[in-house]
Amino acid sequence: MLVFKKEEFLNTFKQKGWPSIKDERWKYTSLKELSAEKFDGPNNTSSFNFNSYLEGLNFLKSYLVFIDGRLNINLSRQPQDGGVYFSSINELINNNDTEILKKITRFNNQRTLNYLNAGQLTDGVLIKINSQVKEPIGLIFITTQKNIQSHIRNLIEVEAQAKVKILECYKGFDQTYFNNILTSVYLNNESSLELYKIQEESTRSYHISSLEVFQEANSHFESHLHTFGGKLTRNEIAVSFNASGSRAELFGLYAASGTQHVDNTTFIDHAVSDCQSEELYKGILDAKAHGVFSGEVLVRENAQKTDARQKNKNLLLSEEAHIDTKPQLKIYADDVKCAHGATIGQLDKAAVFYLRSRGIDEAQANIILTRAFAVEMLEKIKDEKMKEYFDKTLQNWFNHQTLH
Amino acid sequence: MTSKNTNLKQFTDQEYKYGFSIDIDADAAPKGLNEEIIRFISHKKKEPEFLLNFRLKAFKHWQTMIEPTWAFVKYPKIDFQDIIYYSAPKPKKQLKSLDEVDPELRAMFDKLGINLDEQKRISGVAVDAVVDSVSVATTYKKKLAEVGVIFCSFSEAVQNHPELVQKYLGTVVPYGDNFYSALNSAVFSDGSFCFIPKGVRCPMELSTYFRINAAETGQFERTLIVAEESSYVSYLEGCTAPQRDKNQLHAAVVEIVALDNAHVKYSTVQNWYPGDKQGRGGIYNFVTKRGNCRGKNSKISWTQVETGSAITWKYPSVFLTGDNSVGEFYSVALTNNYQQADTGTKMIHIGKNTKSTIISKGISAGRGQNTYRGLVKVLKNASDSRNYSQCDSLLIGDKCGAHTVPYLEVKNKSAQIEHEASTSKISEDQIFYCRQRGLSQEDAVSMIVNGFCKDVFQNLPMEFAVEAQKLLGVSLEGSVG
Repeated sequence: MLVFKKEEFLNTFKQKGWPSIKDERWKYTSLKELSAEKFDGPNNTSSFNFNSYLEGLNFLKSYLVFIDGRLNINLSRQPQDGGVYFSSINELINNNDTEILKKITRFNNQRTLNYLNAGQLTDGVLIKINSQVKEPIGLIFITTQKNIQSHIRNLIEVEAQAKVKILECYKGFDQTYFNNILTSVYLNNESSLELYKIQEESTRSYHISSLEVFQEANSHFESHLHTFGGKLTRNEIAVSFNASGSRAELFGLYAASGTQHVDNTTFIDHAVSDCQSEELYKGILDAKAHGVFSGEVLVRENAQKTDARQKNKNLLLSEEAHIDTKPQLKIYADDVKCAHGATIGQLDKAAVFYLRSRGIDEAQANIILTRAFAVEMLEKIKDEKMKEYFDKTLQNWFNHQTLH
Repeated sequence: MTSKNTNLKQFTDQEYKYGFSIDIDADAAPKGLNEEIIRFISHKKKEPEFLLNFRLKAFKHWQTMIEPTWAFVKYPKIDFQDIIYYSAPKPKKQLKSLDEVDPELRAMFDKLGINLDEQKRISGVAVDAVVDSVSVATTYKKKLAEVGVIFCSFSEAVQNHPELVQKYLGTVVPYGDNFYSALNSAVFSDGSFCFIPKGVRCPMELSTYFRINAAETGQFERTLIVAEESSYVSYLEGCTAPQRDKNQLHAAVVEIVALDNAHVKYSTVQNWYPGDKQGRGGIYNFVTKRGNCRGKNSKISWTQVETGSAITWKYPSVFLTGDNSVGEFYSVALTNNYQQADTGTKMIHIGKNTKSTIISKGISAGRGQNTYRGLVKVLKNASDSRNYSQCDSLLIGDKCGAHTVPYLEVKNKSAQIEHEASTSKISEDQIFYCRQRGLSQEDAVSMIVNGFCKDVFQNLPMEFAVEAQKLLGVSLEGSVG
């Protein structure tokens, strides 16, 4: 019988250690500071009034709330749709659900942080979608305690021909904490998932997330990942095409100021023929923020008729902001269309002048132009309500900034 | 499809055109590397103290270094103790004129199509022919001397202009820069030295032909080009190598210094022996090339056509130190059969208002693996700097690979950086269109490939542009998947 032994994973992690900047995959993101911090596991949650945190999410008919990494069913609005099944990961482990244990222990063993995640597992959720679900489902993660670490493990399975939209939100009190999230997505034949994520963690927190997506034939995956918070953020997305005819779209926006560090790392494995991938990541970096984009597209030998596109555009707003970007293509098949591009620039002085000559002050002109740069990412969102919510969070970010 | 395959086979079957070797009595050091060998080389070449010290420091440092493995190439581990680090054609006597050059050597140049007399008479290009690490014949020296240009073998420069060598050697590529540059600094045998004094526009294109001759001899060339204020030089380097079964290591270092308003144009056609169809043999070409735009408004451009070598590993770079300086990199890299190339550039923007352009065209055929790896770095004070990079790959056949690994690191908000890359194959429509107009399959491919590389060929000096097109033609005409 399979038993989930946290200690073993933790020992493996201790052996392997934290990723270092000598590792090419972590070249621009140092975890030195994070690894020196001391974190406790979360205590039982005290009763806060979370209403202010959930207010904007009223457009969601159903959501699951996680407080300090643990599913809190009382605060949640449980999905009523018959096509949705969910369960807390802790519960499944306690019940020794072999199938689930197999799934959560099957992870990329090259990635040492996965061992830390399993070794210190806090909770997470399994979501199974059996039909075409119309209403989006929310997963709301709120961190309330100081100096804690939450290791969250999520599984999302979308059955054949099923369809769903999921919104992940991360928020936290303004203090130091660490969230380490590992999510696996299984998309069966002709299924579709739109995964939305808004990260508005405290700017004193560490947020590391890894998303693995496995796509079967003719499936569709779409990700919208907007990062505003976190002292250090690392978002990894790895998509593997297991069967032909699939499509993956990864859209990301990151806006950072202060001394924030935001790293978006993506990997798309075109292992089979006739798949399409599209990536567009845009970054706004102000003050002393540091942005990192690292995208890798691998087209394997037999992946003919692949269409892969990748773009990273960055706006540097201040003298001390900086960006390291590394878009990579590795191509082993000849009948493919692959392109990537990266740009780094600043606001157009002529455009700023144009606005100023019409009586708009410089600060406002900067905001208008920066927003115009970001709006492209909102336009990629097809769901109107979702777009509205993303727009609000973007506006919220601008409200808290004095752009340089 | 069958006819295409036949064509493909026919063309990929083309044997290396320049594969032959001639017995020249080589004056070689024993195999292996230690301090003694280095002292032997230095002594043999009657070098001044500072150079011996430079070599020894480099060797000490090299011993502490580990062979790098990050490049996207695979090859059996090199036994650095199994290499002869010095071999020189024995000079029969002191040479006074071309007629005294070893007739065997002259015959070899004839076979290569580099007849010195011919070159002298027709093209007006001064040729410093390097065979097995020692320069044997230098032409047009007089004409260059008139304007004050020094163009000679590295050994001669060490004897005649030690102060210049000491002043500039290792200032662009320090001895400890990387594993292979350290090795080169310790054991370099010869190379070329070029000095263009203030305000001089070099009256002719300078060209050096490298050629590996004796078996199992690593080539460790060292080239140093110094362009003083407001000077200009165009330097051409081209190579072909005889066929060998055993892999040969080639670890050269090229350093370029450009002072205020100086402009250096460095062009390369590299056609070392690429190994046979099964990937046996071939040259390992691990080269460090770097220029430093030290002065204001200076400019360095690298243009390279890489069709040879089993493994190519080189990143001609420019440090844009001076304000308003310009760096350019134009490259065509072709890999066929089992060839591997990991090549690209580094543009380091240090001064204000610096500009760089990168145009890289990679062509992969057969089982070739072609990687573009480049770094564009804008430091904090490099305001208003500008970079444009374009990296295109062309795939011919379904067993090859094309990879693009650009790094962009920007620490200045006024920088404007653009990178674009695309990968494609020759479409059947294109071929059909050409064939319909009466072109043969191979002419069509050749034309399309040459069109694909046009942006780079435009930047080659005339003579090289012709040679480069021929080379591409020989290397992959007709191979359409």
